[in-house]
Amino acid sequence: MRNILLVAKREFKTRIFSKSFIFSTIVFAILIVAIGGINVIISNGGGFDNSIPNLMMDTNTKAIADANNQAEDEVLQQHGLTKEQFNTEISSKSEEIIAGLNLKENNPGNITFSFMILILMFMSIVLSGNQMSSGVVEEKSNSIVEILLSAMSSFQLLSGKIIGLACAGLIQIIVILIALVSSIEISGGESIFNGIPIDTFGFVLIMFAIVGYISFSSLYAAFASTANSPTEAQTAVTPVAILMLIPFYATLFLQGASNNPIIGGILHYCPFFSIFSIPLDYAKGVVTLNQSLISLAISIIAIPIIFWFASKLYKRSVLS
Amino acid sequence: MDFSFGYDIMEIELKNISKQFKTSSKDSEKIVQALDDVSFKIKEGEVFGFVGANGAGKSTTMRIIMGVLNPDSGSILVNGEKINRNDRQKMGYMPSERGLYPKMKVYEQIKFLTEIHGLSSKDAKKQTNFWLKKLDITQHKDKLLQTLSTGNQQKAQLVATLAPKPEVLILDEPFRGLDPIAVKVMVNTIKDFANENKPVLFSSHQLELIDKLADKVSIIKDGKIIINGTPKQLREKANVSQTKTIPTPLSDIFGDLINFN
Repeated sequence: MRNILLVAKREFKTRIFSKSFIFSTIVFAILIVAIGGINVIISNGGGFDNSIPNLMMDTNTKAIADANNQAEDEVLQQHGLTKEQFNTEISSKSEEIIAGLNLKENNPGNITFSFMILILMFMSIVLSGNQMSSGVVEEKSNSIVEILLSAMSSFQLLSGKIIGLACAGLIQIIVILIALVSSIEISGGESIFNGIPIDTFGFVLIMFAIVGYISFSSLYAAFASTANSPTEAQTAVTPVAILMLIPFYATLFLQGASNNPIIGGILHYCPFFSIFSIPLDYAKGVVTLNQSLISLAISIIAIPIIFWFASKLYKRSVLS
Repeated sequence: MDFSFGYDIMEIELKNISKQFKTSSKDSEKIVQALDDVSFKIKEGEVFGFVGANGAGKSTTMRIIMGVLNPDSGSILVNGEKINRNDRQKMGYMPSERGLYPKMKVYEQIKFLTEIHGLSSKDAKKQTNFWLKKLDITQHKDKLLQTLSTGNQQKAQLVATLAPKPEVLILDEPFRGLDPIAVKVMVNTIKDFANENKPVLFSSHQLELIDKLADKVSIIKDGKIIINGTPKQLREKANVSQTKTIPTPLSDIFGDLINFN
């Protein structure tokens, strides 16, 4: 365990002090603050209308009715509840009701943010994966892996590397969340991100980011270990890049069809796919917290299987 | 400075070690017998020289001792018992490549490598600083390894090998690329280590250094040990006259020894 932590600490320090990490983290943060503040800048010219409340949190029947151009009575009739029942019971059902009302299209802030998060998370995982890949090849070509493996097992070495890089990736995700909060605060509540439920969304994003880093970093390390040079490594990790691109593009282009049970099932519950689709759809209010937790549990169960495969390939290839 | 740490490794024995590699080309798959029934013993305080042409099996043997590769058959014994991870943690290994991170600071990585061999953070700092000073590269401790000269990189590698307080040294071509001053430092370090009654195994193409340092020599060819013995015994086998006051250099008789049957 000590050796795993020593390797993790080395990987973490190497990653967070690298120029690519510092640069990408600053760029991510600036993007979020800038885009969040666009509404403040252009509001005099008729920017986004963010008077529509974020209905993931708003449980007021009047607000729902206004947003949907309905009368309050119609909203109540739709759900078969009196006003009192609606307001007392809504907190446990609001997300399903709101998702069912398909009101996400009316909140451009949620949509903008969710796509930004999708792209930023994809880029962060790719950067981590590339860092893992180049680190494995460097250790192999310099023979330092021989010294490391004379002192610890390949399982310990790979685990330490993954933990270190995952922790570094998490720093980026936390910076993104801080930027989001800052965007809201700086804009005095006028940001287009205003109303995004930071606490639960932050939890969903962090958990799926961890799953993403662990799953993809393991595979990057395993496939990179089959290469003997950085050039060979770029080709060697192509299967992992494809494995990442398929769910990313599926989430991007099929998210409108996620109401289809088959497409929705794959996007929301299939490991690798859910890493990208759940944070996006949660931000948009398409999936509930419970659905997200079920999806997370499935992805966590898949991790030992992914790691088992990756560690076998790494052990076989890293010294060849 | 005391080299010892924990229990002593007094003897390492390789018994009937064999190893094959599969190499595949466009048309066929070939099996290469990298090691064939290799056996030898290194005792405490002994400097064991390992000589052979490129590709003869020296590095493969050392990798098997260090657990980097597994043998297909045979065994490695330490003090008569089968070797385990604890034994290997007490061995200082220097591979033929540099074996360090080029873009990491010298001090940081040596401390890291020392800690993974079981030393506490405090001991690792102390050992790292001691050996950096002893090999006269303290002034480079905060530099990236790749910015150092070849000789200083090799010294840094030697520091990384010695800082974890090993009980045994396994050095694969430790003199490669060194200037004469650095060679002298390396030679003295190996002698001091052996004088502490610790075994040393090293390989080199520089036969004058093998001659100078080694108490025993094994010559390996195509994966097989063809001769074992002291430098004096090797000269006898090569039928070199023993009346000469200056012994015939090993380099002069190597050609005969490598074809010895």
